Amino acid sequence: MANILVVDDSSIIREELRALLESGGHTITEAVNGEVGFNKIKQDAEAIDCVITDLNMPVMSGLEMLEKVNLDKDLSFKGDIIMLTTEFNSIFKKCGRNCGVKLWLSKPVQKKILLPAIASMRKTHG
Amino acid sequence: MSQHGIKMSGSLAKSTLVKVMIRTSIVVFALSTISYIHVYSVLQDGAVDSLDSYISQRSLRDRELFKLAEKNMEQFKHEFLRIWRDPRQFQPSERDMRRFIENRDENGFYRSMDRDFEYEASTFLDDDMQVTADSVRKILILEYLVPSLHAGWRNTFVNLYGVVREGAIVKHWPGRNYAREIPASMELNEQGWVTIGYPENNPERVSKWTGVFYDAPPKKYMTAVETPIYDGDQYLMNVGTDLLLDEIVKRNLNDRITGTYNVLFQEDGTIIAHPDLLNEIKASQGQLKIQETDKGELKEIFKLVLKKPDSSVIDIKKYNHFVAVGKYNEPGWYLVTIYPKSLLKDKAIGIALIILLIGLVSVLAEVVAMYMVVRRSVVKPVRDLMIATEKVAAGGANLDLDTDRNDELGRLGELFQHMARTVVDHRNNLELKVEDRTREIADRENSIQLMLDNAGSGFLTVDTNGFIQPQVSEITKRWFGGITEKTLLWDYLISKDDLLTKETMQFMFEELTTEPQFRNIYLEQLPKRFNLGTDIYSIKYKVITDENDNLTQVMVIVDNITGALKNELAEKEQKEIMCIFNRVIADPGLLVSFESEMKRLINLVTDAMNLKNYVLLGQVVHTIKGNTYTFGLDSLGDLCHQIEDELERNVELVNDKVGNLIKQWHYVSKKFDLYVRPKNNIDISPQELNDVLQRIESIHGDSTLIDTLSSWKREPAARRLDRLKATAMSLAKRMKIDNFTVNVESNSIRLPELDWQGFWGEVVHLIGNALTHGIESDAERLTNGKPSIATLQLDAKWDDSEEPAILIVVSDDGRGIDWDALYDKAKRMGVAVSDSNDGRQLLFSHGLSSINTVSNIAGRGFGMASVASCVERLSGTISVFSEKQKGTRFEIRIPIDPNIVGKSIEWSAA
Repeated sequence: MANILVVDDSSIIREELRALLESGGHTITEAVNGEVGFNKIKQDAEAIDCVITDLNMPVMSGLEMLEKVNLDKDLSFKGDIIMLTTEFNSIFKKCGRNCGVKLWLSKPVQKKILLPAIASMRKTHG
Repeated sequence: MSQHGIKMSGSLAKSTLVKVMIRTSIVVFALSTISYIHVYSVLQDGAVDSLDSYISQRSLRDRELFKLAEKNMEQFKHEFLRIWRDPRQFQPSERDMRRFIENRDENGFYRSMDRDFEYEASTFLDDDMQVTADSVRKILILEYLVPSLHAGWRNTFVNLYGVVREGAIVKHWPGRNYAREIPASMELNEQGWVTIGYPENNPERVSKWTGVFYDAPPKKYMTAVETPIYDGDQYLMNVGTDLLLDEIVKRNLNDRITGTYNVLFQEDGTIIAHPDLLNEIKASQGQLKIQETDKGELKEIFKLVLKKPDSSVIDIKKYNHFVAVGKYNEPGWYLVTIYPKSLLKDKAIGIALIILLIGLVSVLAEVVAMYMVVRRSVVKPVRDLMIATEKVAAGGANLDLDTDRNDELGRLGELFQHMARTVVDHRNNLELKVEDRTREIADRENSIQLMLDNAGSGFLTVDTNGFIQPQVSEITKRWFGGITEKTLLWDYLISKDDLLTKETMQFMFEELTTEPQFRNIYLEQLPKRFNLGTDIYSIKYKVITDENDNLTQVMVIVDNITGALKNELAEKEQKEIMCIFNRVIADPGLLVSFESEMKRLINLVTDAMNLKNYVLLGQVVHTIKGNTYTFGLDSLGDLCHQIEDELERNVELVNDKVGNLIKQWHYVSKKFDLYVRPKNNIDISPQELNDVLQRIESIHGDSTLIDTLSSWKREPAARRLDRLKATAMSLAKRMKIDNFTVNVESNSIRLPELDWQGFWGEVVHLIGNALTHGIESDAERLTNGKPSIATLQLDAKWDDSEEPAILIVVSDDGRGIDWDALYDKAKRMGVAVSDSNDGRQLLFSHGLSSINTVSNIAGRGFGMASVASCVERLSGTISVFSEKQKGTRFEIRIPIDPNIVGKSIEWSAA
């Protein structure tokens, strides 16, 4: 099972995701915005298997966080990245792809989508 | 199913019988042939045996004659010598001498005179005969002996004679004068049959047989035996007897086995008798030799006979004859019986034919018998089976088969019946299935047709780039217009105003087609609903893959669900309430945090609106959207969605939507109040409470505390009052009264354990009355100097006077009771009225209402009366205080028995 970092400014969303992911046997770390999220990744990049991040957040957005992770020369993050958002357009997509977003999920995410998606991604890692 | 008649060119019975007949016949023929061969060989052996015995018997019998002849001659010789040697007898007299000398004919021959020769001999003397005493004495003795001896033999031998050397013959041939028959030319001493006995010709002095010769006097062919008589060395004479050839021939040729013929010949080949050569034999005067004839077989036989004189039966293969040979030693003759094998063949064939005939008759009889049996025990049941098969083929199940038989056919019939039942069952099932299937197919075709005709749904096929294939159904065109080449799905379906849906669809579709790993996930996330104009559509997606699971096409099914959604929306509110309810049940804490978070966010929305900070607004609304969707409050989520749309399009139009959002939130949060107790409530189960009580009692024994805690088991009045409040709100909404609020004060009272049944329902009438009669319109209130919002107060209190009671108070600040109008009405109805106390009684009478309009909620005048009766039931009282324009107050007083309720009432009331 995976260690998952959940980055979302809404505590409700975080709570919801925690309940959902823990029911799937995953371990959850929370971050309230991109900056906190980045710091958590920076702290221990190897311990995090997967990041589920919101796009729009105060202080630092999800994409900004991912860009920062990518630009940080000292950081080598190999986990999967899931973008959980309500906004889908080609610009985001392009940025997301450049930043290593593997999967796009729309809010609100359903259990029947999220858990199989994570399982499917874990499987490709072997 | 076509009918098959029993049409058969052949029949089992017939063909079987024909085969049996043919085979049996072959056997019979073979049997007959074998019989023939066997019989033939047996017959051959038999024929050889019987021929052998026949010929030896025959030889024996025939030789008897010759032997007898010789024996007779020996006796004759013996008699003669006996007389001859006796000198006293037959010494010739003178007269005797003279008789022979004198009685000579013209040729010098003596011939006996004619007389009766039946019993006398005939005597002939040659002309040169020396008449001496000796010779005469011989003749005399002969004349005596010959007739007397012959008298005993005449049945067998035709004659008897003696021939004297000197030239005389004495012969007895009954009835004939032989002497007279002898021609003059005949020289007696030269006759072969005479000379054969002469000593020079017969030194052995034995009896000798002549060949066949022709005797002139009787003109007959004959053979003779000649026996010489010697007296010592003196030759006296021959005695002999003749055997007539006619008789021999008659005997030998005619006395024969049927189908055969006999041949008689001498050792030297002289043929004595042959059925084909009688004339030739006579012509040659009995001297016909076998060697001189042209009879090849006869020559062969003769050769074989000479070569093997002892064998009695010879198989002459060349001529296919058996030849039986018998020898007559006395005259040295051979009797040969020629037996053609064809006789045996005919006989064998005859027997074989009889066997064949019997066999064939048996075969015929057997076949007939068998035919009957087969017909009865095989053909009939088989035919029954055949008819049964036809029946089954024609769909019948009612079979008439003989299953009682103990043999294979019986078993077959049984099995067949079983099979037929199964077949019929299966067919029935099959027919049913076919019927069902046919119906199903028809239904399906109908439904396909129906779908195509009515085209409830729009069908689109989209390639991996999102381009729609131009062939779309009519309804799709009607909904979304015609289609050109290279039209993208989202451009075709989604309005350009609905950018979010369009982008989401495009985004998810592109991911769907490029990320097979997450195909199902993106498929799930494709927009399932969109708006176009005033209509709402649902979309379903179906992925079409090739054999390698590569996505080739996506099928899109679009339905117009506007109508369905109206119903759905109506249910949505209910659903959301259920959703909240379920959440609360499952986790009250989550609801609390959700509510406080939402309150914070809604306040932020209000702030943002006041500051016209649309960025903040967007962020906050966005967060609200996520929260509310997550919580299941889709109506709020949808509103947020709309606000986001408006923010992108036209900021000015966002006000209304935000107002809606806030209003909707207040509406929803009010619902929460129904389910969520005030936060300072503590949930305690009765079990927990009992445990605590027991522990407290054992430690302190503080009864008042225990009573207080015990009271927790009773229902809080607040709950009832809150429900009354909810009912009041609901009633007000239905009555379209919006200038109206309800206050509840329960004073933490818990209700005593009384029979409250129906009570609270009655209290609703008081509320209904207040709403109907009490609350004015806000214009009217403002005119009378009152606040526009009317207040309904619901209170529960303790009356801690000497008679303890619980008070339930319903009061409003409305227009009050119009007592005058009430009195007028009572008067009109004929009720006596005196003062204001009576007015109160009037209020609680049936059928009296102070206003003239009747609604579903109040106005019929029955409500007050039923409230009063219910209060009475609880031994309580109801009072009304009303002042015009000040309001109305109903006070229900239920007395409490302190023993029942507990000592703590006063305490808790205080």
